Amino acid sequence: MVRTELLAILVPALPLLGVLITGFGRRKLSAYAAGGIASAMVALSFVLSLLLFLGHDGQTHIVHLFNWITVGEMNIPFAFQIDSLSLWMMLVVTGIGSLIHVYSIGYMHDDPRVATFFAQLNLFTFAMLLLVMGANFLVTFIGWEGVGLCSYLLIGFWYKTPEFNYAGRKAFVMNRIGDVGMVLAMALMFLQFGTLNYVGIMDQAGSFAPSNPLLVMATLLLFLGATGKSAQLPLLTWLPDAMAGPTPVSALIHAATMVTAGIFLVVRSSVLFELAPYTQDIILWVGVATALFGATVGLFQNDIKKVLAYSTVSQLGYMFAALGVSAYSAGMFHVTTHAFFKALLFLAAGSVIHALGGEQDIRKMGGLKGVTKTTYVTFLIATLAITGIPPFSGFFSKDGILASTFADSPLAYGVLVFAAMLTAFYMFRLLFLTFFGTYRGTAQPHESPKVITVPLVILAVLSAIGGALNIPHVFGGSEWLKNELATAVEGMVGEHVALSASTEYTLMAISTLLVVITIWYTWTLFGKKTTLDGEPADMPFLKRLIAKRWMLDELYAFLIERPYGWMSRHFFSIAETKVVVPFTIGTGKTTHGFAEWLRKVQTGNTSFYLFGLMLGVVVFLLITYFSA
Amino acid sequence: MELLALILIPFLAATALLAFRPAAAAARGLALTSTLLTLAFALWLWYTWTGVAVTGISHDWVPAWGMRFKLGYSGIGLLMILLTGVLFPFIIGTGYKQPTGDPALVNSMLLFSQAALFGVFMAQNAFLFYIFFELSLIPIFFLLLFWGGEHKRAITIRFFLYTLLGGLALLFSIAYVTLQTPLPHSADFSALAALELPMSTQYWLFWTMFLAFAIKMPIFPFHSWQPETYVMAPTQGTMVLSAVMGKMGIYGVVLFLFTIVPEGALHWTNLVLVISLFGALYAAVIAFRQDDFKRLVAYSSMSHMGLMCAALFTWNAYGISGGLYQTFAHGVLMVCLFYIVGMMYQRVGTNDLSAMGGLKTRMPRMALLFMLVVGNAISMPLTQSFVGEWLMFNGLWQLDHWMAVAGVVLIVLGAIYMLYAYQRVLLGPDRQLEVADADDEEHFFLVPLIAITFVVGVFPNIVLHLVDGPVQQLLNSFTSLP
Repeated sequence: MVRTELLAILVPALPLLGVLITGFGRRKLSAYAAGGIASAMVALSFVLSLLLFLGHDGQTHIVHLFNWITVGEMNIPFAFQIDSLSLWMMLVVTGIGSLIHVYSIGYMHDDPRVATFFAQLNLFTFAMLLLVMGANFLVTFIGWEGVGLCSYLLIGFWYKTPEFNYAGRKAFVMNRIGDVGMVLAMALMFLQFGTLNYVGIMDQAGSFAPSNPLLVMATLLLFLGATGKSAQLPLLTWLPDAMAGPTPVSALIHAATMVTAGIFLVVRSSVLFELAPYTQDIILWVGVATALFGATVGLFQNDIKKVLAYSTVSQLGYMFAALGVSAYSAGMFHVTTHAFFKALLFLAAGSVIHALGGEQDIRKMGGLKGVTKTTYVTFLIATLAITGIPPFSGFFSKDGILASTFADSPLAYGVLVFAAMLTAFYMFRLLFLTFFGTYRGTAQPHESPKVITVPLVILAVLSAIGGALNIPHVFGGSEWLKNELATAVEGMVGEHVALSASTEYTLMAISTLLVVITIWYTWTLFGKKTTLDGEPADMPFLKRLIAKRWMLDELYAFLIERPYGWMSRHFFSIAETKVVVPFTIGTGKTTHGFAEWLRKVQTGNTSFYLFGLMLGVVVFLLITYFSA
Repeated sequence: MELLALILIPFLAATALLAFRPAAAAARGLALTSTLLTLAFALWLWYTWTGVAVTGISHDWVPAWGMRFKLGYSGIGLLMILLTGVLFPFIIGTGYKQPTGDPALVNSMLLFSQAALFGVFMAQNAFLFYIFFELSLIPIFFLLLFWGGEHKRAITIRFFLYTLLGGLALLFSIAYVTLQTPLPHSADFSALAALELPMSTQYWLFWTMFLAFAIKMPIFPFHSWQPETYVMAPTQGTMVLSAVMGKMGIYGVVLFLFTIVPEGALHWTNLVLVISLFGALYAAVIAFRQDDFKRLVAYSSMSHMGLMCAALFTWNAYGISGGLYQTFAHGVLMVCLFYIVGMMYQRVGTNDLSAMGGLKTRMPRMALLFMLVVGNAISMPLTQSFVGEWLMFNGLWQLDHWMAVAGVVLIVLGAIYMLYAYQRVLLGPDRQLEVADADDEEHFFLVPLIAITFVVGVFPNIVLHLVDGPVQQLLNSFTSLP
């Protein structure tokens, strides 16, 4: 137990130490030293997490550090909860995190602020670990806000470009809108349960009848928080803009870890959600709608990172759809495999961008498979994984989600399969335009150094075989991850796929077949492109709408941003300057005259002036007295 | 004895400065030494706090009017003493890099004000409270009148009139309630709290008292003196007003309204909640598109004060403790922010945000310090502001869900204006402005304040334990309310 405590404290403490070292030493450390230290801290953290994981006995351990906030009946400890769910997330965060740290050594070494970059990346890791390790909602919230701040800082890392700063602020503010829900949910739960400890709340929640309005409200508010952090409709427009950050940031924060925090939060509070079927329905449909939204927008994007960003939005939608039908382990499984292949896609995209000296437009790429061989092969593996081609990891995790939704709602299943076809289209379009055909750019492409390609290879292996973590029974697997998580996630006991083996085989065959046909179709369109046709001037309305990302950004600008700016200016120039101030001080002219008069009085007869004041006060008091 | 020392040390130092008018270095040294001494005393009181209210001195003064020279403190008073003790060394220290005027005179005024503020937070007699309450303002009045910016005379006079109006209403109320005490009359708070005034009296008496505090904090719509005064005042004056004096309003609400006219306060609760929350939102919206950096911070201060005032009126431990706790957090934050405003003013020669921008390349150290302060301003967890806001939101939620929604929306609006301000000061393309980065002195001014921010954010109980007990007592006294 002492060993568990020590390890549990060290896991987040090491990245924090890394923040201090690289932060304070940012002027003295060389790029390699800063990167090396930062990577070592996260890697060590991974090793310790692995030790914890291997030594884990299936029980829930609470590691109590100190009492954080104690007022009245409130006692919120600063404590960690070590169970299979938090351990699994710790492994994903530190595992993927260390690979991306190493990759960043190569990717960022020319940047003058590289040490600051690593300090912020370590700070992110620290916050993310607090998020997944917290034993109560408020400790999770520390991490929740912390990752949001790091996201803001890293999106705007290249601070000289105003658009990047705007993107950073947009991300933070949209997340904060979600956080309103999170804070209110916590206040509600504290009032209801008298505690914010996960264990305490989940124990008490069991005695509530299903669909209790309080639980429905709490879960809806929590889900609002989750939509902000995990970029679900309607709070998703920040994520594509977040691609302004350096590519390793996109991989770590905006694909593999931070954006899955919403999914983690729902799984962590699964007991509550199980008792609120109404909320579950909303989660299912928000997830399905977001999956479709992201997949459609991905079709016509030409920025390599933007395609991947919308793909992330879409894949997160799949995960939420799984949670909506109580398939928590399927959701967590997809979190894991997605972390592998999406981190890989971003890092490989970064390698391409690196190779082309900063070019991100896929119309100016092409034919790179001969030059950047490692990048090409790893990107291909990741693409096969995300499109769900067996036996790559995405096939198993996506199949889990599809099968679970089919059992619950065939309509949702149908939409998700359609979105999977769209996924195959935009991913292979991306692959073909980048690596096939002939080169259409001007820069001199070259393969990236080992420090970049080795993490790619490791992630490619994981993307290829990651499905082995949770092979379903129909393939003779034991669903290892599901059983592992079942010790921590209540409600998963009831998770089942009530499908016969033959139905499952049929579903798999259908979705795989449709995806393969889509890939073939994409090949005929883009496979051998040497030149690109210009965009036709008269695109059909729907296509134009999708290419403009369903006008969601414009809608928000029209409905919220511009009115708010207008309000801010006019509250000051009209309400404040012309109404409130004159009204409370006396109308403009009188004030001025009064001041002039007072100035004379002040230099002349002070007692008269005080007398006048007293008189005024007495009159005021009399009025108040008689009107009471 | 420590109590008298808290008042006498700054008072004597201020008198000496005024009498001998020493040279700049000596004047600053003396002022700083005296504030550090009071800080040591304040910390000693905090360290030896046992949870029991302390009465230090009690002398008859004008018995016929119930006036007694009675000093002491409860946990709440001690929090305010701590706030004053911690912040004044920094306010005096601001004068090193951002001098206001003749250091002997300026520091003398600041120290007189500090002496009176300690008096306010220790007075156990309502008349004594009132005297200190008004005394604290006079030196600041001179500070603004002599060393203020544009339109200093007109603004100072307006400000003075406005606060005096509130003060006189308070004086009237004190006189009125003292006369209601049994003979021999006593204006001691203990005697006033024992009064059970008729409901009809409490209804109006609430407003004659609250007016003074509402103006002092200030909350909407009594705030109209605040933005222009904060903008016009020299940095040190703005710091005293926003970081410490505004807290007299919060303190006064708990000290007067909740003990003397609790039923009146209960009666007007909804109205106060609505106007203070509306004001908080209103100020936060205005702050977003402000071009004047100092006015932006002034409105942000008003926004925070509105939330604190609302939190007090939630009638539960979380709201009241959170509101009181937040006075400390807000004080530290305001000193940091106005110091940064002053730093930028010195470098760019204006508070106009459109004249700034793109300075991060030239001011990397400043950028980091400012970001840490921004973290506190937008109440990131593990900074002190978060703890206060979390408690206040809980208090609001327990009272009314919609009030809580209005309060929590502030975390969005706060992020909007604060991050935008940060961007406008520092980020964007380099504009080739020749500005110096924060030097060592400025660095070591801000670092301790930021350290306090995090220490109190991670271990908030070191401050919360002061108010927890008194707030519980207060709540117990409410249970007899209808």
